Amino acid sequence: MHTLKLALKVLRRRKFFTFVSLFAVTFTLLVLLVATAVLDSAFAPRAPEDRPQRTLVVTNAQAKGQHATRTGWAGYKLLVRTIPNLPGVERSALFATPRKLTTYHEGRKLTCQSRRVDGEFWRVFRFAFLEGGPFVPEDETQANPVAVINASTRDRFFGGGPAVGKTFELDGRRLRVVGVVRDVSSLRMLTYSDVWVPISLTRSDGYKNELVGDFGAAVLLSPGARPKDVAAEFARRVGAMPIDDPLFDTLKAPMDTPFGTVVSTFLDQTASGQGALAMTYIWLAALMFMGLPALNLVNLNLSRILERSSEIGVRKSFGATSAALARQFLMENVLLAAVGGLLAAVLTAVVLAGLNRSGLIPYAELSLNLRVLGWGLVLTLVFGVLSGVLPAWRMSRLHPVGALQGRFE
Amino acid sequence: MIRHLLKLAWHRKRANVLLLIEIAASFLVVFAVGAFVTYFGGNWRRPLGYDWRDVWAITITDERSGSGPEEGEAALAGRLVDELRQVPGVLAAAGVDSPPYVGWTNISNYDVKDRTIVFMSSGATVGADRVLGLKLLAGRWFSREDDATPWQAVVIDREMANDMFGTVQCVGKSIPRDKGGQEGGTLEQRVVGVIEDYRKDGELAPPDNFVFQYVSPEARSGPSRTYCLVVRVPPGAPVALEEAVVGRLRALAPQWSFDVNTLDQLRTQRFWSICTPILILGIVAGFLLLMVTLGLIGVLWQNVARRTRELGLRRAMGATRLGICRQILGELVLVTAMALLVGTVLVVQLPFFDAFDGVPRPTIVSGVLLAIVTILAIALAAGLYPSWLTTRIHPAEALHHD
Repeated sequence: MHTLKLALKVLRRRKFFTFVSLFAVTFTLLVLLVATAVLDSAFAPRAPEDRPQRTLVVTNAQAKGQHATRTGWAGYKLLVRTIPNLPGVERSALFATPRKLTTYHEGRKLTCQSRRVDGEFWRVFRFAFLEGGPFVPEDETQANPVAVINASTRDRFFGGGPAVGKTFELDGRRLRVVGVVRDVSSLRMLTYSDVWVPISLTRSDGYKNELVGDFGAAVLLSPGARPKDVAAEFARRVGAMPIDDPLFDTLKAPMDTPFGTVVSTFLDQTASGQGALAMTYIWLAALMFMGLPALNLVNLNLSRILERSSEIGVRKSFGATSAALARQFLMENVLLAAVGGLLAAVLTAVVLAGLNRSGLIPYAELSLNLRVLGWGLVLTLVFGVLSGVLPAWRMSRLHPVGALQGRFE
Repeated sequence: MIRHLLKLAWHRKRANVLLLIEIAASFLVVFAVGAFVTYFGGNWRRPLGYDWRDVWAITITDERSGSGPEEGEAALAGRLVDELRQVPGVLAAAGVDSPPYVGWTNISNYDVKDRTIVFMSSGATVGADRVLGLKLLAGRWFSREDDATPWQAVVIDREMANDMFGTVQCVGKSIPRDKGGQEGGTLEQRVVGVIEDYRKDGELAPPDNFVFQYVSPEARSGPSRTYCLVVRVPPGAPVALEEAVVGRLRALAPQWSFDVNTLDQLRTQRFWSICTPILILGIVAGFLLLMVTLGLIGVLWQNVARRTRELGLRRAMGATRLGICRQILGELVLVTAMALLVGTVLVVQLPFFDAFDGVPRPTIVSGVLLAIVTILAIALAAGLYPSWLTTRIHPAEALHHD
């Protein structure tokens, strides 16, 4: 408590330095907090992807031969032969990548993302239904022209009123609405769309013969099942798949956590376990970004040693230990970081609200929740220590006599 | 003078090294932003090679796999083009695989003598030049007379002509490639025309080798289908026209999906997809620099305050105000120059890494120059106030200090 009061006094005495330090801290944490909020919005457990710990996903596939390589999302055939009846799996769903479709409605052009999914999709992922419900596996087998739409699409097509039971036209086909769900942020790569329709609702069934195509699968593990075992069994099945295309002789499709699968698109599409690597990169990037502002503060603090040398000399002469002094300087920095962190949190909320409204990310729901704030606290501490340790150490080691004389090197 | 300054800087090496690292890091930040801006800015000023106004691109998607139409369905694509020309309100229509601003590209290469020429290619039909407003430099665009020849007609852009023949006057020549070159099978390919650089990826992309290959309606040889139709419409064409067009296409090819975009829309999308990250980077970099500037002011201010006695002594011994001011700024410029040297040495290594293969040397040079000027300006701006403070030092007072 005493150190805290002391730190406050020091900070208030030199306004310019306090301002520069606060500016650096606030700005750095603001950028990091916004980045954290984006990552949180993309990967944290939230409807419809509310059970990521129990979910494993396959999206990438690669068929390779001597002269040709085809890499992309998995094909329907690959998944439909390997995913059903995996031991340790409670439910499994197949889904396609969203595709942009158009319709002309009362002299306006409307475009939406349309994603083909199976009936189980709605039980692996739990959407928040505003009205109606999901379509069922029978709709899939009978290729019924039914659709689940999101709230924004309901507004655009039906003017916001209830839509279940009504029909609308999309890409030259009439669809009946069976359910309306809350908008899903487009950062959710596995689930987001405007319209969801049965997989079989297509003009031709060539997709059924593809090993590499535009499909993904998600499985929900039974309680107690080990993800590693499930992934290993899946890999065995993929390895045992007969390949009828003479161009290719090996087939790969990694099964991974949702986070690992999505980030592997940017790293190595054919490997699993990319989540840990991605986290390392993210931390490295964050540390590198903190580096320059931290260095800036270190330089600033070091240059203030002289100004404070008499203070240090006096305190040391009166028996303060180096450790006590180091604690005091660190406290000053942590206090700065804390105030900066608070300011950054307020500014982040403003920036996120702006981003949500800008439409830069469709259906963005970036928010400053407790998890993000917790990360903010961790980052604040890391930054405070990063920028405070060296100057604190140097200051605490000053020799009392030299310091009193103004000699310090 | 410089030796003296060096000595002074050396005496305080521990503080100066950290300062040096900070300035070098800022240099790298400015370089990154500067390189992007000069690169894209330079591209923006080059000729574009086509006219994007009032043109629609209609992408054909086969529902089977989400990719383009299957081989062997070219005749159908050909009929779609004819159908489009019949729609009242459509000024011109043609098929082009890679219209401007559309995401995908076909990249191939010819083995010519001892080197490999990499290029982008696209199938195109008769009339595509009129729809896209391509500018011919020599020869002509494709016409039906290309159907009957024993070779395949190609139109190449200026960059490709210069790369392969060293001149744009190369109409009638055939492409000199070795047997077993990867593209186009064994059929001879002959240049019938040369167009201005076709920068498919838009104003921000660099000019690149581009080859248009003739697609006949009967798909006799070469690329046998078009993934995309392009349509020229009157300015301000209504949505009703688009609806009519899509209706006709759907009736003729029910197994395909059609996605209509104006080139104007695609152009805006592409522009922002490149500029948004750079803009964010730029804003962050701007704040970083502001922060560094403020920090430098603080450091220098402290520096001057700490050396009041030394500077006062120099004043007492007859140094002028200007001299002292110059000394402070000189020391600053010295540290900055060393930091810039370190930064430049780091940046010059870039071309040796694969990841930066695509970055042309002029971009690196102009990026470095821009960064040097900016950092020097920032350092001097930061030094201005503190060095002015030194001129306020009164010798008597300074020696009295403490």
